[in-house]
Amino acid sequence: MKHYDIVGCGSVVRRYHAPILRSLIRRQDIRVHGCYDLSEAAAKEMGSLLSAERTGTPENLGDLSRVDAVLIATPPESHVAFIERYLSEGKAVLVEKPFVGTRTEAERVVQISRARKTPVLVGHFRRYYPALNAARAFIREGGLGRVGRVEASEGGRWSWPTFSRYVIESPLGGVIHDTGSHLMDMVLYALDADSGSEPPFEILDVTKIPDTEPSHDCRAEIRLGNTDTGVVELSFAVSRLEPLAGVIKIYGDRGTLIIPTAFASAPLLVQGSETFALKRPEYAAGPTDAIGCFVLEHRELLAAKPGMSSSLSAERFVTLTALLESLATLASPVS
Amino acid sequence: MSGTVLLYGGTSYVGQYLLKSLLDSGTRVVSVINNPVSSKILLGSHVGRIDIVTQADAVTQRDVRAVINLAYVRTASPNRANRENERLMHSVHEAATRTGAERVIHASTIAVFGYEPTGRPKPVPVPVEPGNFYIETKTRAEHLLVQQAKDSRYNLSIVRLGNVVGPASSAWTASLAQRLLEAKPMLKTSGYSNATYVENIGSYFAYLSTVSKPELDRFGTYHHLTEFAQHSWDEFINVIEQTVGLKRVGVDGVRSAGGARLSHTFGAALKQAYHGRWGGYARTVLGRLPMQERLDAAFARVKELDQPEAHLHGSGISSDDATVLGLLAGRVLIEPHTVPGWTPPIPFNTALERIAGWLNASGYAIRPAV
Repeated sequence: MKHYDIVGCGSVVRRYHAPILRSLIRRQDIRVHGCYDLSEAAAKEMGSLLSAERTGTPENLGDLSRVDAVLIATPPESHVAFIERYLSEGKAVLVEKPFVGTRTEAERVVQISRARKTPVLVGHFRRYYPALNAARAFIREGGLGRVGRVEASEGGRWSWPTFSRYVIESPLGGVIHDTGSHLMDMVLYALDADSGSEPPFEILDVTKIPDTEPSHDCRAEIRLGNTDTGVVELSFAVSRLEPLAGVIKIYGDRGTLIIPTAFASAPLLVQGSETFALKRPEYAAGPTDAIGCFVLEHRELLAAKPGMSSSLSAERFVTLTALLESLATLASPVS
Repeated sequence: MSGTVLLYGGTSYVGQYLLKSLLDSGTRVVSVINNPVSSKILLGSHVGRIDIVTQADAVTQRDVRAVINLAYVRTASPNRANRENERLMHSVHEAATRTGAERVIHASTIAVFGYEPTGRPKPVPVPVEPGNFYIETKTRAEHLLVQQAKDSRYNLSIVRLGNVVGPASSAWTASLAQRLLEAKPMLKTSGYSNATYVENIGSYFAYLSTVSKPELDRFGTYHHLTEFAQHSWDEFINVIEQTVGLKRVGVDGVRSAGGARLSHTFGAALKQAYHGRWGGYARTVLGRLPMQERLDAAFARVKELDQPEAHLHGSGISSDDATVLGLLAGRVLIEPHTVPGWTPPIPFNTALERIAGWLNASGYAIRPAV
């Protein structure tokens, strides 16, 4: 049985992680050691729900010797400090998205993770979407031919019932690091452009509302890749102000792939006037909805061991972090 | 136009169009907010052109000619829904009486007749039917407002909105286009859309805020804003299909719902009991109990009873799909019932053009391949 800490007990933990953690507790796979939140009441409530041995604020994590792994779901600017604290004691980490705020921080975490042989997983659960994986495999196999352009968008009028001011005050609280991190990650993952030593991208144009972070609407033109690896022009749009199509359209010279940003079992392939659902048997037995993806995420954390390789491993999110950092740092307009 | 409009629910989708109509006519708008985070995000572009206040300041406003309510209870836990509804409607009433406003205009919905109504829906009171949370909440709100208005000096207009279509309408435009992109089932249907166009709603509410009070008194309390009701869903969906570049898929071969099962526990029974007619009664009873925090905590636990592993197996048509398909069938026409003298400024074909333009600009259209 493994012992977990939960750092950050807000709505994402309440809504998505807690049901899974409770099921793992029932099966005696885990026991929750501590629940921590800036709000002691929230920590206490979650501690009671998960039968935690101790609760408190994150400044008082105490002795970690009995802890095996941690789920970090605090506001993103504090991620790096908590990741490093747990990593330094050799504890496996699952951190909610967005990973960290800067490329420098991301690289440092990856370095420590390698040195300590301790896995850090980032909660980009959409990587388990069957449609995304089917699309990725199809592109890898050359089914789409040469990919020249991608259009990615996702938006909805803000309706999250939070009173937390971090989404309107924190530089990492805007739509770029919120919805944008999911969307951009799906693009990079689909194109197999999520790893590599030198993040290859160039931001050609960006427009944001408001034009400083945290912004609530962002449209950008980005060039991914380089002349050696091939260049893909990416139109990127995310919004909290209005609905946008929740879709990634990947245009190749053999057709167009349509990947919904919501959970879907198969992408669509458009060739001329014909449309096909691109069903791949190897992904047919996957999760049936987004909750199922959270379940898989926790299975990975449960199975975490030194040297493990996972699609959620921290080194797969350095390029993403660098791209989001650039988008957030640039004031509009760029060009 | 002289006088101030106090607006509840200004952060809503319809709210932004109403704001535009009111500001274009030179009306001073005071937006009454409940959540400062949402209002900072969604009203940010209006800062400097409207006043943003809390309820405490709303009731001290002067020269208020109308109180318009677009807000409704959406996210309260079931045991709190009735109380929150009462609190919101009381706030609207309090603002009208304390500011001396001569009219209250409230946005309701044709859903008070049910998602698949029978008979011929009329502009008269509708009994509260416990069951669906949204329908029940909206119907209760109508009753609360009518009750409060009985001994008041203001005129009450309850505008039951049809299915709201328009650029950026998440329920009846964006979600239909998104269904095409996700290859979710959608019917070929000649069913009545019972639709209203969002800019027309803004125009109608602005009109109601200026039309003479005797005229409003003569008209009666209930309005049905469904100016495109006779147009079928197919007329909308055909345009959406052409713009997106994908055809809808039928429901043939789609298996019926799977999904998570609940543990056989008291909590699971409680959760199930909150659905349907008996759920409505249960909410009413529990809402009257003093221990609301304990009930909230009990609900948090009940929510944890889903079996996570069930989300790794099975598939099929979801309850959301079933609701949408039922609504698109639209067998009953809900005829418009609006104050004479008002004409919808946006005709049907213009509405379709604007919807197509928005879909194009918002990422729904698939362009020719590379």
